[in-house]
Amino acid sequence: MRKGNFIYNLAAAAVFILLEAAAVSMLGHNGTVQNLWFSKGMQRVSGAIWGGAQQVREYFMLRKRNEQLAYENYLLRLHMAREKAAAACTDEHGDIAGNFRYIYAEITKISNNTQHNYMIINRGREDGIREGAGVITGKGAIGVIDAASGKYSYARSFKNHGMSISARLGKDGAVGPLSWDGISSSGAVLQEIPHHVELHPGDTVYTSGYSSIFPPDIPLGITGEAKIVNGATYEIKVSLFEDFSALRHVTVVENLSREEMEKLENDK
Amino acid sequence: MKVSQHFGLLYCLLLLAQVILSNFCQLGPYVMLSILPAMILCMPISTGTIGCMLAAFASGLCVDWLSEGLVGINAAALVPVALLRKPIIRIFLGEDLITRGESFSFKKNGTIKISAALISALAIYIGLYVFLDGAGTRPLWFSLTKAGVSLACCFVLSLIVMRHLMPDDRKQEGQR
Repeated sequence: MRKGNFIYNLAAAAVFILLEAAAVSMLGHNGTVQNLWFSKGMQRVSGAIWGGAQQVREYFMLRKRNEQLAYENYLLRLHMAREKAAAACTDEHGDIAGNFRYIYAEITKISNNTQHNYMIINRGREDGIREGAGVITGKGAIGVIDAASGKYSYARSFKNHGMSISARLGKDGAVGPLSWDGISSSGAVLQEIPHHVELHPGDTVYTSGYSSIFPPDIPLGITGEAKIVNGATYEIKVSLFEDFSALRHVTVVENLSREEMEKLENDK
Repeated sequence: MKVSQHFGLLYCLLLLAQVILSNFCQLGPYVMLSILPAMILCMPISTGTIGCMLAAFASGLCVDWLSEGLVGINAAALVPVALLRKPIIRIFLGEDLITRGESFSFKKNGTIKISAALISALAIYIGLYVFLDGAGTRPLWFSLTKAGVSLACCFVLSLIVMRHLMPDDRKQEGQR
Protein backbone atom coordinates (compact mmCIF):
# COMPACT_ATOMS: atom_id res chain seq x y z
CA MET A 1 0.00 0.00 0.00
CA ARG A 2 2.74 2.37 1.03
CA LYS A 3 4.79 1.38 -2.00
CA GLY A 4 1.77 2.09 -4.21
CA ASN A 5 1.36 5.51 -2.60
CA PHE A 6 5.02 6.25 -3.11
CA ILE A 7 4.85 5.38 -6.79
CA TYR A 8 1.68 7.45 -7.19
CA ASN A 9 3.31 10.44 -5.47
CA LEU A 10 6.34 10.05 -7.69
CA ALA A 11 4.13 9.97 -10.77
CA ALA A 12 2.25 13.04 -9.48
CA ALA A 13 5.52 14.90 -9.01
CA ALA A 14 6.61 13.96 -12.53
CA VAL A 15 3.27 15.08 -14.01
CA PHE A 16 3.48 18.33 -12.03
CA ILE A 17 6.97 19.09 -13.33
CA LEU A 18 5.92 18.23 -16.86
CA LEU A 19 2.80 20.41 -16.78
CA GLU A 20 4.58 23.33 -15.13
CA ALA A 21 7.43 23.12 -17.61
CA ALA A 22 4.93 23.09 -20.48
CA ALA A 23 3.00 26.04 -19.04
CA VAL A 24 6.12 28.07 -18.32
CA SER A 25 7.50 27.26 -21.76
CA MET A 26 4.27 28.48 -23.39
CA LEU A 27 4.38 31.59 -21.23
CA GLY A 28 7.97 32.20 -22.28
CA HIS A 29 7.04 31.91 -25.96
CA ASN A 30 4.07 34.23 -25.68
CA GLY A 31 5.29 36.97 -23.34
CA THR A 32 8.31 39.03 -24.38
CA VAL A 33 9.03 40.25 -20.84
CA GLN A 34 8.59 36.74 -19.45
CA ASN A 35 10.86 35.34 -22.15
CA LEU A 36 13.62 37.79 -21.24
CA TRP A 37 13.10 37.13 -17.54
CA PHE A 38 13.28 33.34 -17.95
CA SER A 39 16.35 33.47 -20.16
CA LYS A 40 18.06 35.81 -17.69
CA GLY A 41 17.20 33.41 -14.87
CA MET A 42 18.41 30.41 -16.87
CA GLN A 43 21.66 32.17 -17.68
CA ARG A 44 22.19 32.96 -14.00
CA VAL A 45 21.49 29.36 -12.98
CA SER A 46 23.68 27.85 -15.69
CA GLY A 47 26.40 30.38 -14.85
CA ALA A 48 26.29 29.38 -11.20
CA ILE A 49 26.40 25.66 -12.09
CA TRP A 50 29.27 26.03 -14.57
CA GLY A 51 31.13 28.35 -12.21
CA GLY A 52 30.81 25.83 -9.38
CA ALA A 53 31.91 22.95 -11.60
CA GLN A 54 34.88 24.95 -12.83
CA GLN A 55 35.93 25.74 -9.26
CA VAL A 56 35.78 22.07 -8.31
CA ARG A 57 37.78 21.12 -11.42
CA GLU A 58 40.39 23.78 -10.64
CA TYR A 59 40.65 22.60 -7.05
CA PHE A 60 41.53 19.09 -8.19
CA MET A 61 44.04 20.47 -10.70
CA LEU A 62 45.89 22.54 -8.09
CA ARG A 63 48.58 19.92 -7.48
CA LYS A 64 49.41 19.70 -11.18
CA ARG A 65 49.32 23.49 -11.48
CA ASN A 66 51.62 23.77 -8.46
CA GLU A 67 54.16 21.45 -10.03
CA GLN A 68 54.00 23.40 -13.29
CA LEU A 69 54.59 26.67 -11.45
CA ALA A 70 57.47 25.22 -9.47
CA TYR A 71 59.12 24.04 -12.68
CA GLU A 72 58.46 27.42 -14.25
CA ASN A 73 60.09 29.08 -11.23
CA TYR A 74 63.10 26.87 -11.68
CA LEU A 75 63.39 27.86 -15.32
CA LEU A 76 63.02 31.54 -14.44
CA ARG A 77 65.67 31.26 -11.75
CA LEU A 78 67.98 29.61 -14.23
CA HIS A 79 67.23 32.32 -16.77
CA MET A 80 67.90 35.05 -14.22
CA ALA A 81 71.18 33.50 -13.22
CA ARG A 82 72.14 33.23 -16.89
CA GLU A 83 71.26 36.85 -17.50
CA LYS A 84 73.40 37.92 -14.56
CA ALA A 85 76.32 35.86 -15.72
CA ALA A 86 75.82 36.62 -19.39
CA ALA A 87 78.63 39.09 -19.65
CA ALA A 88 81.24 36.92 -17.96
CA CYS A 89 80.14 33.54 -19.19
CA THR A 90 81.73 32.16 -22.31
CA ASP A 91 80.48 28.58 -22.63
CA GLU A 92 76.84 28.31 -21.67
CA HIS A 93 74.82 25.23 -22.42
CA GLY A 94 72.06 23.09 -20.89
CA ASP A 95 71.32 23.95 -17.28
CA ILE A 96 74.57 25.80 -16.68
CA ALA A 97 74.57 29.52 -15.90
CA GLY A 98 77.87 31.24 -15.20
CA ASN A 99 79.86 29.10 -12.78
CA PHE A 100 76.85 27.17 -11.56
CA ARG A 101 74.82 24.24 -12.76
CA TYR A 102 71.13 24.33 -11.75
CA ILE A 103 69.21 21.08 -11.32
CA TYR A 104 65.50 20.97 -10.56
CA ALA A 105 64.52 18.52 -7.79
CA GLU A 106 61.66 17.54 -5.50
CA ILE A 107 61.99 16.71 -1.83
CA THR A 108 60.90 13.16 -1.13
CA LYS A 109 61.61 13.16 2.60
CA ILE A 110 62.33 15.92 5.06
CA SER A 111 63.03 16.21 8.77
CA ASN A 112 62.21 19.51 10.43
CA ASN A 113 61.68 18.93 14.10
CA THR A 114 65.08 17.89 15.42
CA GLN A 115 68.33 19.74 16.01
CA HIS A 116 69.92 17.86 13.11
CA ASN A 117 67.54 18.10 10.19
CA TYR A 118 67.97 16.69 6.72
CA MET A 119 66.14 16.13 3.46
CA ILE A 120 66.24 13.58 0.68
CA ILE A 121 65.69 14.75 -2.88
CA ASN A 122 64.76 12.80 -6.00
CA ARG A 123 67.93 13.58 -7.97
CA GLY A 124 71.22 11.77 -7.64
CA ARG A 125 74.55 11.09 -9.30
CA GLU A 126 72.82 10.07 -12.53
CA ASP A 127 71.42 13.60 -12.72
CA GLY A 128 74.83 15.16 -12.16
CA ILE A 129 74.57 15.87 -8.44
CA ARG A 130 77.78 15.76 -6.41
CA GLU A 131 78.49 16.04 -2.68
CA GLY A 132 78.96 19.62 -1.57
CA ALA A 133 76.36 21.11 -3.95
CA GLY A 134 73.92 23.63 -2.51
CA VAL A 135 70.14 23.33 -2.31
CA ILE A 136 68.18 26.53 -2.87
CA THR A 137 64.71 27.90 -3.58
CA GLY A 138 63.67 31.35 -4.69
CA LYS A 139 63.31 32.26 -1.02
CA GLY A 140 66.53 31.00 0.47
CA ALA A 141 69.42 28.59 0.78
CA ILE A 142 68.00 25.37 2.13
CA GLY A 143 70.89 22.99 2.63
CA VAL A 144 73.99 21.27 1.32
CA ILE A 145 74.24 17.86 -0.37
CA ASP A 146 76.10 15.43 1.91
CA ALA A 147 75.74 12.20 -0.01
CA ALA A 148 74.37 11.13 -3.37
CA SER A 149 73.28 7.75 -4.69
CA GLY A 150 72.24 6.97 -8.26
CA LYS A 151 68.79 8.51 -8.07
CA TYR A 152 68.60 10.25 -4.70
CA SER A 153 70.65 12.65 -2.64
CA TYR A 154 70.87 13.32 1.08
CA ALA A 155 71.13 16.97 2.04
CA ARG A 156 71.91 18.51 5.40
CA SER A 157 69.24 21.11 6.12
CA PHE A 158 70.11 24.71 6.96
CA LYS A 159 68.21 23.99 10.18
CA ASN A 160 71.19 22.16 11.58
CA HIS A 161 73.55 23.04 14.39
CA GLY A 162 76.97 23.89 13.12
CA MET A 163 75.82 24.80 9.64
CA SER A 164 76.28 28.33 8.41
CA ILE A 165 75.94 30.25 5.15
CA SER A 166 77.95 33.26 4.14
CA ALA A 167 75.40 36.09 4.08
CA ARG A 168 75.48 39.75 3.20
CA LEU A 169 73.48 42.56 4.74
CA GLY A 170 71.73 44.14 1.81
CA LYS A 171 73.17 43.77 -1.68
CA ASP A 172 76.42 45.50 -0.86
CA GLY A 173 76.67 45.50 2.92
CA ALA A 174 78.80 43.70 5.47
CA VAL A 175 79.25 39.93 5.28
CA GLY A 176 78.96 37.40 8.09
CA PRO A 177 77.93 33.81 8.76
CA LEU A 178 74.22 33.11 9.01
CA SER A 179 73.13 30.12 11.06
CA TRP A 180 69.88 28.67 12.38
CA ASP A 181 68.90 29.94 15.84
CA GLY A 182 68.04 26.38 16.89
CA ILE A 183 64.65 27.41 18.30
CA SER A 184 62.13 28.61 15.79
CA SER A 185 61.26 27.33 12.35
CA SER A 186 62.05 30.60 10.57
CA GLY A 187 64.62 32.15 12.90
CA ALA A 188 68.32 32.60 12.12
CA VAL A 189 71.23 34.65 13.45
CA LEU A 190 73.64 36.73 11.43
CA GLN A 191 76.94 37.10 13.26
CA GLU A 192 80.25 38.93 13.00
CA ILE A 193 78.84 42.13 11.54
CA PRO A 194 81.21 44.94 12.49
CA HIS A 195 79.67 47.31 15.05
CA HIS A 196 80.34 50.42 12.94
CA VAL A 197 77.88 49.22 10.33
CA GLU A 198 74.60 51.14 10.37
CA LEU A 199 71.72 48.72 10.90
CA HIS A 200 68.11 49.11 9.84
CA PRO A 201 65.60 46.52 11.02
CA GLY A 202 63.83 45.07 7.98
CA ASP A 203 66.93 45.02 5.76
CA THR A 204 67.11 42.02 3.44
CA VAL A 205 69.88 39.48 3.90
CA TYR A 206 71.29 37.81 0.77
CA THR A 207 73.85 35.10 0.09
CA SER A 208 77.22 36.77 -0.25
CA GLY A 209 78.67 34.59 -2.98
CA TYR A 210 81.84 34.20 -0.91
CA SER A 211 81.38 30.47 -0.61
CA SER A 212 81.95 27.80 -3.18
CA ILE A 213 78.46 26.41 -2.57
CA PHE A 214 75.80 29.09 -3.13
CA PRO A 215 75.60 31.72 -5.86
CA PRO A 216 75.37 35.34 -4.71
CA ASP A 217 72.22 37.45 -4.16
CA ILE A 218 69.74 34.78 -3.14
CA PRO A 219 67.38 36.51 -0.67
CA LEU A 220 67.42 34.73 2.67
CA GLY A 221 65.39 36.79 5.13
CA ILE A 222 64.97 40.16 6.83
CA THR A 223 66.81 41.54 9.80
CA GLY A 224 65.24 42.09 13.19
CA GLU A 225 66.72 42.97 16.58
CA ALA A 226 70.46 43.34 16.92
CA LYS A 227 72.82 43.19 19.90
CA ILE A 228 76.53 43.81 20.31
CA VAL A 229 78.54 40.72 21.26
CA ASN A 230 81.91 40.98 23.01
CA GLY A 231 81.82 44.72 22.38
CA ALA A 232 83.03 44.18 18.83
CA THR A 233 80.43 42.76 16.50
CA TYR A 234 76.69 42.70 16.04
CA GLU A 235 74.57 39.60 16.34
CA ILE A 236 71.42 40.19 14.31
CA LYS A 237 68.23 38.17 14.41
CA VAL A 238 67.02 37.24 10.94
CA SER A 239 63.55 36.08 9.99
CA LEU A 240 63.89 33.65 7.09
CA PHE A 241 61.68 33.93 4.01
CA GLU A 242 61.45 30.22 3.42
CA ASP A 243 58.91 28.13 5.28
CA PHE A 244 60.72 24.83 5.78
CA SER A 245 57.53 23.01 6.73
CA ALA A 246 56.01 23.66 3.27
CA LEU A 247 59.06 22.83 1.18
CA ARG A 248 58.58 20.62 -1.84
CA HIS A 249 60.33 21.93 -4.95
CA VAL A 250 63.99 22.93 -4.79
CA THR A 251 66.94 23.62 -7.06
CA VAL A 252 70.33 22.04 -6.59
CA VAL A 253 73.22 24.40 -7.47
CA GLU A 254 76.66 23.09 -8.13
CA ASN A 255 79.65 25.37 -8.42
CA LEU A 256 81.58 24.12 -11.43
CA SER A 257 84.77 25.78 -10.21
CA ARG A 258 84.56 24.39 -6.70
CA GLU A 259 87.16 21.67 -7.12
CA GLU A 260 89.61 24.09 -8.65
CA MET A 261 89.03 26.60 -5.85
CA GLU A 262 89.40 23.95 -3.14
CA LYS A 263 92.57 22.58 -4.74
CA LEU A 264 94.05 26.04 -4.78
CA GLU A 265 93.06 26.51 -1.13
CA ASN A 266 94.63 23.19 -0.13
CA ASP A 267 97.84 23.74 -2.09
CA LYS A 268 98.32 27.09 -0.44
CA MET B 1 -30.49 12.60 -11.51
CA LYS B 2 -27.82 12.56 -8.83
CA VAL B 3 -26.48 15.94 -7.75
CA SER B 4 -22.86 14.86 -8.31
CA GLN B 5 -23.54 14.16 -11.97
CA HIS B 6 -24.06 17.86 -12.50
CA PHE B 7 -20.50 18.69 -11.47
CA GLY B 8 -18.95 18.24 -14.93
CA LEU B 9 -21.58 20.41 -16.56
CA LEU B 10 -21.34 23.03 -13.84
CA TYR B 11 -17.55 23.01 -14.15
CA CYS B 12 -17.77 23.71 -17.88
CA LEU B 13 -20.28 26.48 -17.33
CA LEU B 14 -18.08 28.08 -14.69
CA LEU B 15 -15.12 27.83 -17.05
CA LEU B 16 -17.14 29.73 -19.59
CA ALA B 17 -18.02 32.26 -16.89
CA GLN B 18 -14.31 32.66 -16.13
CA VAL B 19 -13.59 33.30 -19.81
CA ILE B 20 -16.29 35.97 -19.87
CA LEU B 21 -14.94 37.39 -16.62
CA SER B 22 -11.40 37.56 -18.04
CA ASN B 23 -12.55 39.17 -21.27
CA PHE B 24 -15.17 41.65 -20.15
CA CYS B 25 -14.57 42.32 -16.49
CA GLN B 26 -11.33 44.33 -16.37
CA LEU B 27 -11.29 46.28 -13.10
CA GLY B 28 -7.92 47.97 -13.50
CA PRO B 29 -4.30 47.04 -12.99
CA TYR B 30 -4.69 46.16 -9.32
CA VAL B 31 -7.47 43.60 -9.65
CA MET B 32 -7.67 40.25 -11.37
CA LEU B 33 -10.75 38.12 -10.94
CA SER B 34 -10.60 34.35 -11.00
CA ILE B 35 -12.76 31.52 -9.78
CA LEU B 36 -10.44 28.81 -11.10
CA PRO B 37 -8.85 27.92 -7.70
CA ALA B 38 -12.32 27.50 -6.16
CA MET B 39 -13.34 25.23 -9.03
CA ILE B 40 -10.24 23.07 -8.49
CA LEU B 41 -10.79 22.96 -4.73
CA CYS B 42 -14.40 21.81 -5.23
CA MET B 43 -13.55 18.90 -7.50
CA PRO B 44 -14.76 15.58 -6.05
CA ILE B 45 -12.41 14.19 -3.38
CA SER B 46 -12.24 10.90 -5.27
CA THR B 47 -10.43 12.67 -8.13
CA GLY B 48 -6.73 11.90 -7.83
CA THR B 49 -4.00 14.54 -7.73
CA ILE B 50 -2.82 13.69 -11.26
CA GLY B 51 -6.35 13.97 -12.67
CA CYS B 52 -6.83 17.21 -10.82
CA MET B 53 -3.58 18.62 -12.18
CA LEU B 54 -4.51 17.65 -15.74
CA ALA B 55 -7.92 19.31 -15.32
CA ALA B 56 -6.26 22.42 -13.87
CA PHE B 57 -3.80 22.56 -16.76
CA ALA B 58 -6.54 22.14 -19.35
CA SER B 59 -8.78 24.72 -17.64
CA GLY B 60 -5.92 27.22 -17.33
CA LEU B 61 -4.97 26.82 -20.99
CA CYS B 62 -8.61 27.09 -22.07
CA VAL B 63 -9.03 30.39 -20.23
CA ASP B 64 -5.66 31.64 -21.51
CA TRP B 65 -6.52 30.84 -25.13
CA LEU B 66 -10.03 32.18 -25.03
CA SER B 67 -9.21 35.39 -23.21
CA GLU B 68 -6.69 38.13 -23.92
CA GLY B 69 -4.12 37.04 -21.35
CA LEU B 70 -0.73 35.44 -21.78
CA VAL B 71 -0.99 31.82 -22.87
CA GLY B 72 0.25 29.55 -20.09
CA ILE B 73 0.01 31.97 -17.16
CA ASN B 74 -3.25 30.57 -15.73
CA ALA B 75 -2.10 27.00 -16.31
CA ALA B 76 1.23 27.65 -14.58
CA ALA B 77 -0.49 29.26 -11.58
CA LEU B 78 -3.30 26.72 -11.31
CA VAL B 79 -1.39 23.42 -11.51
CA PRO B 80 0.33 23.98 -8.11
CA VAL B 81 -3.11 24.59 -6.58
CA ALA B 82 -4.21 21.20 -7.91
CA LEU B 83 -1.04 19.59 -6.56
CA LEU B 84 -1.63 21.06 -3.10
CA ARG B 85 -5.41 20.56 -3.06
CA LYS B 86 -5.36 17.43 -0.90
CA PRO B 87 -2.81 18.77 1.61
CA ILE B 88 -4.93 21.95 1.93
CA ILE B 89 -8.10 19.90 2.54
CA ARG B 90 -6.20 17.69 4.98
CA ILE B 91 -4.95 20.69 6.98
CA PHE B 92 -8.13 22.76 7.11
CA LEU B 93 -10.95 20.24 6.78
CA GLY B 94 -9.43 17.11 8.30
CA GLU B 95 -7.92 13.81 7.21
CA ASP B 96 -11.23 11.94 7.65
CA LEU B 97 -12.76 13.69 4.69
CA ILE B 98 -10.08 12.29 2.38
CA THR B 99 -10.11 8.82 3.98
CA ARG B 100 -13.86 8.49 3.59
CA GLY B 101 -13.85 10.18 0.20
CA GLU B 102 -16.67 12.50 1.29
CA SER B 103 -17.35 15.87 -0.24
CA PHE B 104 -17.16 18.95 1.95
CA SER B 105 -19.79 21.65 2.34
CA PHE B 106 -20.46 24.85 4.25
CA LYS B 107 -23.19 23.04 6.16
CA LYS B 108 -20.96 20.14 7.23
CA ASN B 109 -17.57 21.81 7.72
CA GLY B 110 -18.45 25.40 8.50
CA THR B 111 -17.72 28.64 6.65
CA ILE B 112 -14.52 29.44 8.57
CA LYS B 113 -12.73 26.18 7.71
CA ILE B 114 -13.76 26.31 4.08
CA SER B 115 -12.80 29.99 3.87
CA ALA B 116 -9.35 29.17 5.27
CA ALA B 117 -8.88 26.42 2.67
CA LEU B 118 -10.12 28.73 -0.08
CA ILE B 119 -7.81 31.58 0.97
CA SER B 120 -4.84 29.19 0.93
CA ALA B 121 -5.66 27.98 -2.57
CA LEU B 122 -6.27 31.53 -3.78
CA ALA B 123 -3.03 32.77 -2.19
CA ILE B 124 -1.01 30.13 -4.06
CA TYR B 125 -2.73 30.89 -7.34
CA ILE B 126 -2.67 34.69 -7.08
CA GLY B 127 0.88 34.75 -5.72
CA LEU B 128 2.15 32.76 -8.68
CA TYR B 129 0.01 34.67 -11.17
CA VAL B 130 1.26 38.07 -10.00
CA PHE B 131 4.84 36.81 -9.83
CA LEU B 132 4.76 35.44 -13.39
CA ASP B 133 2.83 38.41 -14.74
CA GLY B 134 5.27 40.92 -13.25
CA ALA B 135 8.32 38.92 -14.46
CA GLY B 136 10.63 40.90 -12.19
CA THR B 137 9.66 44.23 -13.78
CA ARG B 138 7.10 45.44 -11.25
CA PRO B 139 7.99 46.96 -7.85
CA LEU B 140 7.23 44.88 -4.77
CA TRP B 141 4.59 47.29 -3.45
CA PHE B 142 2.65 47.02 -6.69
CA SER B 143 2.77 43.23 -6.68
CA LEU B 144 1.72 43.05 -3.03
CA THR B 145 -1.14 45.50 -3.54
CA LYS B 146 -2.37 43.66 -6.60
CA ALA B 147 -2.13 40.31 -4.78
CA GLY B 148 -3.98 41.65 -1.71
CA VAL B 149 -6.81 43.35 -3.61
CA SER B 150 -7.19 40.40 -5.99
CA LEU B 151 -7.28 37.97 -3.08
CA ALA B 152 -10.10 39.89 -1.42
CA CYS B 153 -12.17 40.14 -4.62
CA CYS B 154 -11.57 36.55 -5.68
CA PHE B 155 -12.43 35.30 -2.20
CA VAL B 156 -15.90 36.89 -2.28
CA LEU B 157 -16.54 35.69 -5.83
CA SER B 158 -15.23 32.19 -5.05
CA LEU B 159 -17.45 31.82 -1.98
CA ILE B 160 -20.48 32.35 -4.20
CA VAL B 161 -19.18 29.86 -6.74
CA MET B 162 -18.43 27.26 -4.08
CA ARG B 163 -21.95 27.41 -2.73
CA HIS B 164 -23.13 26.28 -6.16
CA LEU B 165 -20.43 23.68 -6.68
CA MET B 166 -20.67 21.75 -3.40
CA PRO B 167 -23.22 18.89 -3.69
CA ASP B 168 -24.63 19.15 -0.14
CA ASP B 169 -25.12 22.88 -0.33
CA ARG B 170 -26.71 22.58 -3.76
CA LYS B 171 -29.07 19.93 -2.41
CA GLN B 172 -30.02 22.22 0.45
CA GLU B 173 -30.63 25.10 -1.91
CA GLY B 174 -32.74 22.78 -4.11
CA GLN B 175 -34.90 21.75 -1.14
CA ARG B 176 -35.62 25.37 -0.34
